[in-house]
Amino acid sequence: MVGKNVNYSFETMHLEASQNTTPPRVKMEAKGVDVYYGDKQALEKVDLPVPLNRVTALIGPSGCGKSTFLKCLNRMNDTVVGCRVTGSITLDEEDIHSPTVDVVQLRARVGMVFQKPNPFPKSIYDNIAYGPRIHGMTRDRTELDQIVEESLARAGLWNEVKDRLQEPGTSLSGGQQQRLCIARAIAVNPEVVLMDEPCSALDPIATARIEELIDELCNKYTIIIVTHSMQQAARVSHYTGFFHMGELVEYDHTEAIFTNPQQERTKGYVTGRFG
Amino acid sequence: MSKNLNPHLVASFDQELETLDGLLVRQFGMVYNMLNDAMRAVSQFDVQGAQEIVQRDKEVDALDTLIKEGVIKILALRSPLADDLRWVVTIQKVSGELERIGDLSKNICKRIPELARRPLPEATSGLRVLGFMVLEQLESMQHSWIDENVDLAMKAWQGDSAVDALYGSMIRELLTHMFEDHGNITSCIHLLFMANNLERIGDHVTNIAEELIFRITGKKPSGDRPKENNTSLAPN
Ligand SMILES: Nc1ncnc2c1ncn2[C@@H]1O[C@H](COP(=O)(O)OP(=O)(O)OP(=O)(O)O)[C@@H](O)[C@H]1O
Ligand SMILES: [Mg+2]
Repeated sequence: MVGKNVNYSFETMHLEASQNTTPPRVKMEAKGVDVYYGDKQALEKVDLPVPLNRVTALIGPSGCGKSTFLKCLNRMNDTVVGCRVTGSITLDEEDIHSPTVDVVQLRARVGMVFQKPNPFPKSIYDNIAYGPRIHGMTRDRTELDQIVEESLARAGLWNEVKDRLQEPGTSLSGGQQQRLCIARAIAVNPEVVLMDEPCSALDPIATARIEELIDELCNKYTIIIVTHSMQQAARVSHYTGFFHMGELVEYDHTEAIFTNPQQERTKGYVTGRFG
Repeated sequence: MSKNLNPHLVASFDQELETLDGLLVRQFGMVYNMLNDAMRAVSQFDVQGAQEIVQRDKEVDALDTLIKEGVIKILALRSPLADDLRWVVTIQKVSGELERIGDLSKNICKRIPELARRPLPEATSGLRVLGFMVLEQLESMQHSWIDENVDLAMKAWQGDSAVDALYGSMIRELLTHMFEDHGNITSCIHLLFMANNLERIGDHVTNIAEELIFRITGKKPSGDRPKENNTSLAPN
């Protein structure tokens, strides 16, 4: 172990002990990303690597551009009128803006979970089955049933809803709805899951469930989570990026960001100390 | 108020940190006085004074307990991060080091009645100088903590060869006294243990320096730590 060119920290030791992995490869990467809404620049020269099978947290004050950045990663900004994105964003080293990339396909590979649970006005079953159906992922009903069950089980919701699959998704509690949305996002077998403040409307128990779920999911997926809770970022993520006024100020191991940040602005934000 | 940090948005958090740090500074002072008085009692073979100092160790322990409660409260209620986290955690550790220094000062005092039965003023002078040096280190460390002075702490951490040298020559001197007159042996053995206690106190001061450096810079100092004294007869 000693002698490898890795900066060992508790973080890396813990990861190696629990997952026995070598340092992760980069799954997605932003380089020199600028975003404009009309004339107004919302992001400036953002360089951020997203490591495979790790949780990356994005933190920063309201309006600093976290959601904007997240939406760049699956080109959700394409649908925003007046929004312009420049710079390069790659998924497995392929530029996601390249003409050969199909946006629908991209969004299947890079799924998204929003702040407010937004189940479709359909049954629990159909909420999950929707994605696999439009992507033609299954041949028959049995396969679809299987995907629905697996996705709900992975999101930790199956036992709670297995007897009420035909009830509307909106009949679930807030925490259950959020897990339904996570199940829906993973039903199409994405590679990356983007989560924008997924727990902001949830109580501590529902939050803990989602965090536990994130922990499990990162074995299979690459996760990027925007959160306003520093404690949540510290608990769930391996890497953290701090945004401020459209800039990525600091990006590092989560442990470093919360115990020994290098930039004054990061320090001020995480400690709540302002000059 | 920490001189390197901006105030918190939540002012009561600042007040809690200041209170906690104030308690630690008080503990520094208490332990300093304990050791200072212990060395005075040694040089005057003051048995009664020594007993009074032994009692003060309980106050140091009580303060340590109070500080640890404060640390837990802040960790639980404020979830401190970055500089704040390092500050709170090092306060807890430094308080533990000071508590140990209090114990060792107490141990020195406990030997004074034995020493007073056959006072050997000429054999005691080395111990007094050693005590003086360690007291200076402790005082300087207290100032380093209050001023958040990393350079001063770094010097303390790199060690004081004068203390090591004196400790070594003291042992040789005590051996001479023992050879000269076997009747000196008991007193000299006590002096040896007291010297060892002082040397250990020096180690705890070094640990405090390390904690302070970590608190301010986020990194433990690297490089060579001061060597254990190889003339030490007692295993550390
Ligand atoms: N559709 C839009 N049209 C114009 N400006 C926008 C749009 N969306 C976001 N912005 C602006 O871009 C900047 C970044 O917004 P963004 O939503 O990314 O912030 P955020 O970091 O997610 O904040 P929050 O924590 O409040 O969600 C803000 O100044 C915002 O006003
Ligand atoms: Mg947002």
